[in-house]
Amino acid sequence: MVKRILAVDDSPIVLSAIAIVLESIDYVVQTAKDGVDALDVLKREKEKFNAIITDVNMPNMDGVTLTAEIRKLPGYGFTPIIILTTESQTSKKEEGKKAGATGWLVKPVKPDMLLATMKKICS
Amino acid sequence: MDDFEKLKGLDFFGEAEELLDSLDSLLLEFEKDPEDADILNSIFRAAHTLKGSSGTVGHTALEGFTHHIEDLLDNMRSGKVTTTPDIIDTLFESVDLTRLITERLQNKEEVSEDFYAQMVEQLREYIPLDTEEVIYEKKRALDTEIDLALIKKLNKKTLKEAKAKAEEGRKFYQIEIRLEADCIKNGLDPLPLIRYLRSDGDVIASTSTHNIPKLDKFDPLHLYLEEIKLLYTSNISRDEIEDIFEFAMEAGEICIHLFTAEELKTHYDAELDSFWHEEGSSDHDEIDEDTLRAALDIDGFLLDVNNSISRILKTIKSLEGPHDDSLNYAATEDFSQFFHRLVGDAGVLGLETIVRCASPIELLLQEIRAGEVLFNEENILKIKKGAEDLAMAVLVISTREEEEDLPVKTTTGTTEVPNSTDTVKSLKESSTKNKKTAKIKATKKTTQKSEKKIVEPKIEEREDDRRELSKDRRTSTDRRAGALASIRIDATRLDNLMDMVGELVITQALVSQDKSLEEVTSPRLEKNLSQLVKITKGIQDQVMSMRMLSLNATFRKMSRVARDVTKRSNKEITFKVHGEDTELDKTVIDEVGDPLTHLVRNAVDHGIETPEERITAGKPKLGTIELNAYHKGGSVVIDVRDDGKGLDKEKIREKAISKGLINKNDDLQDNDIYSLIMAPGFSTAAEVTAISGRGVGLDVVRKNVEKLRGRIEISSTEGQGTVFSLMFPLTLASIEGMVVGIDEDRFIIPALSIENFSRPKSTDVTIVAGRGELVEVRGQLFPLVRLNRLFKNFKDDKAPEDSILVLVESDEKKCCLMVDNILGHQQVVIKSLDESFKEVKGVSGCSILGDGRVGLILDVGGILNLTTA
Repeated sequence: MVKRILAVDDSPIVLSAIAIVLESIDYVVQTAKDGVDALDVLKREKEKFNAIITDVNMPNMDGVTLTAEIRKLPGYGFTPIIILTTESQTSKKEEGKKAGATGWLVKPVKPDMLLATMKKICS
Repeated sequence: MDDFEKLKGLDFFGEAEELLDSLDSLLLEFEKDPEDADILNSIFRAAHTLKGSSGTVGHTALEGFTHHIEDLLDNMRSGKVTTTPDIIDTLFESVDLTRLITERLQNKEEVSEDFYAQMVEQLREYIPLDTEEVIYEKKRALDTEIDLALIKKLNKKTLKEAKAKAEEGRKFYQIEIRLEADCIKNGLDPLPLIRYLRSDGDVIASTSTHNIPKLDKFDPLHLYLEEIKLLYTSNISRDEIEDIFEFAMEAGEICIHLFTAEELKTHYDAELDSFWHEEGSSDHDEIDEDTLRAALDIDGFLLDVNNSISRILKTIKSLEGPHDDSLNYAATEDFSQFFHRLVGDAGVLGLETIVRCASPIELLLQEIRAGEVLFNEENILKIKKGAEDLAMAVLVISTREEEEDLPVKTTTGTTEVPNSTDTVKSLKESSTKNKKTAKIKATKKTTQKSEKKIVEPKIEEREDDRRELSKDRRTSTDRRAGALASIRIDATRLDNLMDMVGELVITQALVSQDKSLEEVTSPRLEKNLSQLVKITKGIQDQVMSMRMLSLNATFRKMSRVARDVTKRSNKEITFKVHGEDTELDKTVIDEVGDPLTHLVRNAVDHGIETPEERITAGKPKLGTIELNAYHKGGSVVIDVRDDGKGLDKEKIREKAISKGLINKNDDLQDNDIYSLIMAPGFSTAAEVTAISGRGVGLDVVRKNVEKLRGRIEISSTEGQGTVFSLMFPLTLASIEGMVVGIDEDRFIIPALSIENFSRPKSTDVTIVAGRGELVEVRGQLFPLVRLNRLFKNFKDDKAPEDSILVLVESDEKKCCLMVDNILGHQQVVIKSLDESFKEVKGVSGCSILGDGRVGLILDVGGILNLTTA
C-alpha cells in the first residue's frame, strides 16, 4: 500500500530533500511550508496521510502547535507524527510528545535515518 | 545514496544568500527596536533554517558555525541573555562570516573549524554557562529475565530453527515491550516496530489479551496489550534494537535480553529434550493434528469468504454507473449463490456470526430473484452494506480467536469496527465458540496463515490506492510547482533569447516596411500584420523584463553599509529607502552595488555633520540619508540624498584650480563645478578618514556608472545637503543613439557621449604638425576625426563645410567626428559583433536599422584612444 506522507518545513530545500528520499522508496510526499499551510492541506485532502513529518521552528505556526492541532482533526487521532528538531535538548522532544508527536528526528537528518524512522512508524 | 547526492545540486546557495540577506535586514530592524520579540523570532527562524538547510545538504562547517549563532539567538529569545549593542554587533559580524563561509563553499573550497573558531568563542561568551544545552541522555533498555514460558511455547520445529540460527552466529534476543495504554494516541503503534524487526530477522511474538474488552467497549485508541514479549533472532546488535525502539522507550519500557551461548544451550536443549519426550505420547500428537486441520479449514474458509466479498464489492461498484440490465441478472445470480453457500458452510463450521450477517442478505437476494423485490439502488446498497459488515466480521473473527498469540494486531485491525449492532452481538458468541481452536495457534504455521488472512480484506483498498496513485503523484508535483514562485535560468540562455527576439523585431520591421506591400490591398493582411507588430512588441517587452531585477537586495545591502559606517563615525543617522521595487537590468544591479556603497559611505563620512555641528546649525541632531529609485523618462534614477552640509562651491573651485583642472577665469555653471569632484585625483575632505579613504572615490564611481552606460548628476544646496543622481538606461540591450551617415554607410553614435553638433567653416580647420587636423568649435580646439578616413573609405572625401561635426566626449577627452549627415535619433537594439571583429577598434557593436541596413555602433572611447595615441 502506497504511503502518503505530509512534510512540513519552511525551508524548501529540506522539503525537497525529504521528498527525494521518501520518493525513492515510492512514498508519495506532499509538502506544506508551515503549520497553517499544513492544516489547510490536511483539511483539503480527502485521502488521509499515513504519516506527518514536521519541523519545529516555523513561521505562522510551529511544529509543536501543529502537532496538537493535527491530533484534533478527525481521522488523525493516531497518525504517526515525527517532529524535526535541531535542538537536541529534551525540552522540544518533551513538548512535542505532550502535543502528541510519535517521535522525532534530530537535524541534520540523514537519509538512512529518515527511511528507518518512517519504516519504524508506518510500515 | 545517489538520490541524496542530488540535493547538493539543488539551489542551496541561492537559498542561503536569501536567508543571509534577510538576516541582515532583520538585524537592522532589531537594532532599532531590541525589545521586539517578533523580529527576534524571525531572526532566530532564519538562522535556524539556514542551519537546517546546510546540514541537510551536508555542509557541516556551515552547519557547525550557524549552530552557535542559533544557540545565542535562542538564549536571547528565552530571555537568558539580554540584548546589548555588543551582541548585535557580534551577530552582524557572524552573518558576515557566514556569508564568507558560504562563498567559500560555493567555490568548492574547504572550510575548517579554525576558520570560525574565534567567532564561535565570541558568540559563546554571551551565553551564561548554566544555560549550556543539557546533553540529552538517551534512554537505555533494561535487561530482562529469561522467560522460560516463552520458550516453552515454541514448537519443536521453530525451536530447532532458532537454535540452528543461533549456532550460525545469529544473536538470540528476548524483548519485552510494555507501553503506556494511550501511546496509540501519539501515533505509536507497536506493530510497525515488530514488522521492522522482522525485516532483519525472525520474530516470535506473544502477548496476553485478557484486557481486550468486548467490541462495544472497545476503544481503538487504547492499547490493551500490557506486555508484548518477543523472541528475536537476528544479526543486529542490541544497540540497533534500542535504536528501533527509540520512540517506544519514551512511551514505556523496553527490556532486552541477549541470550548467551550458555543460556541458549541450557534452556534450548532442555526444551528440545522435553519435546522429544512429548513426542512419545502419540495421543497428544493426534489431537494436535486434528484440531490443526480444523483450524486450517476455518482459515481457508475465511480466506475464500474475503475473496468473494472483494469480488462482490467490485461488481457492485460496476453496477453503480450506467450498465446493461443483463448485468443485474448475472450479479443477482452470482450473489445469491455465494450467500446461500456461505450461510450453509458457516453454519457447518459453527461460525454463527457469519450466518447472522449473511442470512438477511441471502433472503433479500432470493426475493429479488423471485421478482418480489426490485434490484434497485436501495437494495444494492443493502447488499453492499451487508458484504462490508461481513468483511468486518471475518476480520474480527480472525483476529479475536487467537487468544494467546499475535493479538498485537487487534489494535490496528479493529479500528474500524462496524456499527451494526447485529454484528457486534453475534461476534461475542463467536469468540467463545472458537476458543477451542485457540490453543493450537501457537504453531508457527498457523500464525503465518492467519496473518495472510488479515491482510486479505485490504486487497480491494490496495487496488484503489494504486489507481489513485498516478493521479496523486500528479497533484503532488503540481502543487510543488505551484509553490515555486520563480525558476532560475542560465543567463546566457536569456541572452540568446534576447538576441533572437532582436532578430524577430528587425525581421518584423523589414516585413512590415516591405515596398511590395504597398501594392497589396488586402485588409486581412494589414490586420494580421498589425497584430504581428503588437505581438512582437509584447514578446520584446516580456523578454526585456526577464532580465530585470528589483533593487531590493541592493538597497538592503546599502542599509547595512550605512549602519556599519555610522557605527564607526560618531554620527547619528537614519537611513531611508524608497522605490526599492524599481527594476533594472541584471547587469546594472550586479554592478551598481560598488558605486552606491561608495556614495553612501561618502554621504555618512563627508556629507552628514557631527551631531554637535548639526545642533549648532539648527538642524535636527539625527542626520538623514535617503536612497530613492524611480523612473524618469526612459531611464531609472537612483538618488543618494543626504541632508548634510552640502558641497562648498568655492572650495571645489579653488582646489580644481590648484590641481590644474580648470583655469582661474573659467566661468563654470554650478553643475560643472560639482562634476569636478568626480575628476580623477580630486578630494575635498580636509582629513582622510578610515572609511572613505583619500579621494580615489568619486572618479571610480563615475567610471563604474559610465561603464553601465549611466551618468551621474550632482546637485547641492550649501548647508542643506547633496543629491547624487545615478541615471541608468532601462536596459543594456538597446542604446539611445544618433544615426549618422557617411556616404552610404550608417553609424550610430551613443547619445550619451554627444556634446553638440556644428557645421564648420573651412577656415575653422587647421593642421598642426604632430597633432593632425584640429577644428575650432566655439573658441576651443578639438582633434578632427574624419570617420570616412578612419574606416578607410576614401571614395568621397568631403570638404568640412559640407559636413557636420559631432563633438563627442569620453573620459574627459573630446574630439569632433566629421560625418556627412545626421539621419535621426533612435533606440537601437545592440547586436554584438562576431568574435573575429573583436580586434577592430572604434566599434563596439552593430545594429540593424529600420530600412534593413546594418549600422556600426561607434565606441567613442576607442576612437579617442586611436586619435590621441
